Amino acid sequence: MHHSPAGTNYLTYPKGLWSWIVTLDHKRIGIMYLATTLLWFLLGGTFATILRLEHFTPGQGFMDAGQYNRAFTYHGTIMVFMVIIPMIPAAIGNFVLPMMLGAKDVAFPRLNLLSYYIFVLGSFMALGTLFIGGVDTGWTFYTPYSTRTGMGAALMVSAAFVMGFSSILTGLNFIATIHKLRAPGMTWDKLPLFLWSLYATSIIQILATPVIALTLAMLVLEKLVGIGFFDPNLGGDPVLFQHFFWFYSHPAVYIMILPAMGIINEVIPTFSRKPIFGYKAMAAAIFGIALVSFVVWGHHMFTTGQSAFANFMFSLITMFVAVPTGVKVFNWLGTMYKGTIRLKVPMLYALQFLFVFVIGGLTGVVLATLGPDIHFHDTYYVVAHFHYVMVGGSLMAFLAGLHYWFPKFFGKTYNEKAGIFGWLLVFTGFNLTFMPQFIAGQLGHPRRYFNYLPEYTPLNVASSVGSLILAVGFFWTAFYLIYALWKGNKASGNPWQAATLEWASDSPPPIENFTHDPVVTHGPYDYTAVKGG
Amino acid sequence: MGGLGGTLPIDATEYAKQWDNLYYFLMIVCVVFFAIVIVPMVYFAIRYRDKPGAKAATHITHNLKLEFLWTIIPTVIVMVIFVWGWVVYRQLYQIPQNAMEIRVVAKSWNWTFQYDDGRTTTNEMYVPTGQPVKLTITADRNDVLHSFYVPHFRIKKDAVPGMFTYLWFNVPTEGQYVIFCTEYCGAGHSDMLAKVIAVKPEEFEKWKWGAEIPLPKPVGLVGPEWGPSASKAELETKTETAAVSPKKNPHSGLAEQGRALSGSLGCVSCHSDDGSTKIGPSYKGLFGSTVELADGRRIVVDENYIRQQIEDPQSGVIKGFEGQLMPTYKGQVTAEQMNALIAYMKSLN
Repeated sequence: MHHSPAGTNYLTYPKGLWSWIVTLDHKRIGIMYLATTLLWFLLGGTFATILRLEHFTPGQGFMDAGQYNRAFTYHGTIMVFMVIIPMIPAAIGNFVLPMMLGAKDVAFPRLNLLSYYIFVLGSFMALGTLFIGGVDTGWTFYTPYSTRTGMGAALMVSAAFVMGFSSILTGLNFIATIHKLRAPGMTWDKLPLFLWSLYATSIIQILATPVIALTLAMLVLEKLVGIGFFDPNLGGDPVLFQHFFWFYSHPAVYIMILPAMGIINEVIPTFSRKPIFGYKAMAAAIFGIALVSFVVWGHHMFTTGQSAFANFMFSLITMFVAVPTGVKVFNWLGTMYKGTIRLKVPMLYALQFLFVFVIGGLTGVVLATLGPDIHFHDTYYVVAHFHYVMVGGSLMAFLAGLHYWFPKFFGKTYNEKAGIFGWLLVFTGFNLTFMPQFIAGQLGHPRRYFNYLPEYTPLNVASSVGSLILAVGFFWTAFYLIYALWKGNKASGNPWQAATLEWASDSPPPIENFTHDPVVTHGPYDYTAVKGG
Repeated sequence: MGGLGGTLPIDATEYAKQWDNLYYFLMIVCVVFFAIVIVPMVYFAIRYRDKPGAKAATHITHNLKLEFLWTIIPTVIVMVIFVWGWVVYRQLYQIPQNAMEIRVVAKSWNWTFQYDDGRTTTNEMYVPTGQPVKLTITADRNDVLHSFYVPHFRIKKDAVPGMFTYLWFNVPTEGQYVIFCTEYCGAGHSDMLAKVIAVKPEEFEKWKWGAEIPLPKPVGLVGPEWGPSASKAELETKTETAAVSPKKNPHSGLAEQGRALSGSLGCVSCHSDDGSTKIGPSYKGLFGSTVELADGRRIVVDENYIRQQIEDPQSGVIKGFEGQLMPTYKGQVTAEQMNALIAYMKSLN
């Protein structure tokens, strides 16, 4: 790693497009991930808006059933595999993780760049399916439907397979980096909780992703070569696919939510000027959630005809996810208690995260309960629940993180008032979109329904109006953040007076991250040690 | 009106009433916990807000007593929820002995219902009120997953190609209740609607003999009827009296159809119906019995076993019949025919 000339930073040195394409700098790779996932977010969000527009009225509007089914498939696949899974770990994590450790880069910079290009390749494969007839299986690819539709499904599944490798490599890289590249003085009990959550996420990525990769490979083999795994006509079992699929995809939910919790763990103490409450319990809860996440997959399958005993066990174990999750929520409250709270945009998003995540979590308990789940399974109740967790949880935390680290990423500050206005739009739009869906689900509205009974019309209209407000909120946010890149005021090195190491560097940081090798002398949440704190 | 201010469908069965009670409890827990988190959150955000002259943050890092409490109390509550959920749910497995059986075959994209008397209906499932009804649900091997769902009954079960699943209900009051398909199955998924038509037992008897009977009122999801605009829905396209009476087939019950099939498919040349052993095991007394397989497993002969043996005969040969080569009938027997064959075997008990 060469030193940059004085007065330059990682954005300006080295110069030229080629220097970005072949960069090994974790910060640049993080920014590339950020730009890419945001682009895919725009695409996935467009599909969502189209779906909601169609649902302003029952029956056929401007799309037919086939187009609608493809639209929700692309919305789901893009948002899960191309946005929510990589967004926090690969974009924000890539930038922040080495800096929080006081390192110059990740352990394997070349592997890091490779992960990015594998992700891009997978993304283009997924979008390539649009040109060969599209895919209408839903993001879950359930057999035997997925093995009996067009070739698009095979390519889409291969794309998810490829993106899985990107996820595995990033996980490996992060674990090695956390083990080997901590600055002098950074003992395990001084590791910021964001890194503990990325660490747990990486473990899930490494252990669970190969399972989905194999499952998807089996699906492609069945489709192309006719080897029977899941198709009953070939001697397979369609329910087996669901077991394999959820063995990965349930832990994947925690790949999406643990990094989000990690961001909240940084934002709430910083803006409460108080150490995180129950640091050890927080780290333990992260690993508790990660561990339990591997043995609850069957709760997606209560109606498949799996045995009563299996349903009993999966329901029981799922209940235990609620306990460490509750611990985290209470500890965040404990952090705010008697703090000095500054309601800046990142903190507002963190509070919004708490608000919606608690709703997502509590309805998760409802769905884990055997009786209720039978009624709610595959209805809008489930749709509302996981959007409260994934959009309300992961995406709100991402927005908290984006606003929190924006000055560090780009050396600019955004307009605080514009941020608060955007936050209000997002908060209103989100809840108006998804709260009616809980009621629709209570009333039995099945999900993935192109047509719906006229009795559900008012709820669908409310949800669609909400989605438009949400869309305006996102565009507003994009607008003032992009404006800030050009016209924003220069940010100081540590605008929030935070205590983690990335703030000890300039904004934006020089290419080697720190001008002097950092030595850790205080804990990640010890604000008394920070200048101005 | 349904529970929670009309945000739940009307609870049409005893099971649905019990389900609702559990859900009310869950809603109370949810609201209380939501308040426990959000009220302090908002209070702290206002009370401890940084302003000129605000006190510096108090240095608190943890509180073991408090942390212990907020670990233990939620654990106890979720265990109560779990047990209650199980108590309600396990009733779905306790199918009454006197239940009337209807075989449900889900297809892309309609529902076929087969009765013991050989009658087959499409998208209309007539049932007598006050009588437990057992559903044996399946889909053809060449079809995809579907799911049978009646919101008013709070019950749901997947239709899996090549597999039988079970569900039951007992609806005490007359009415028409919507049936949704809730497992995504392609372009016609959201139009794969049907209805349960519950009529008084004496009306049901008349219907069985092909008589026209007055149809009960549709039970809406919120109010007593489908909304006025519901006329657009497929559910309302049918006339209000059963003008199109289901195909009547008084001479041939489902078991009888199965017997005829077992003749035409050649089953009878190896399997007797009187207990005598030909080349294969006799059908008499076979269904529901416990048998030992050649590989040592002991299994109960049920729908799934029979289907498995017809389609893949070597996969579970009964002890004593090793080496007898039965040909596979895979692809030659539709789901409805399979139901008839099984009904025939059951009738020999």
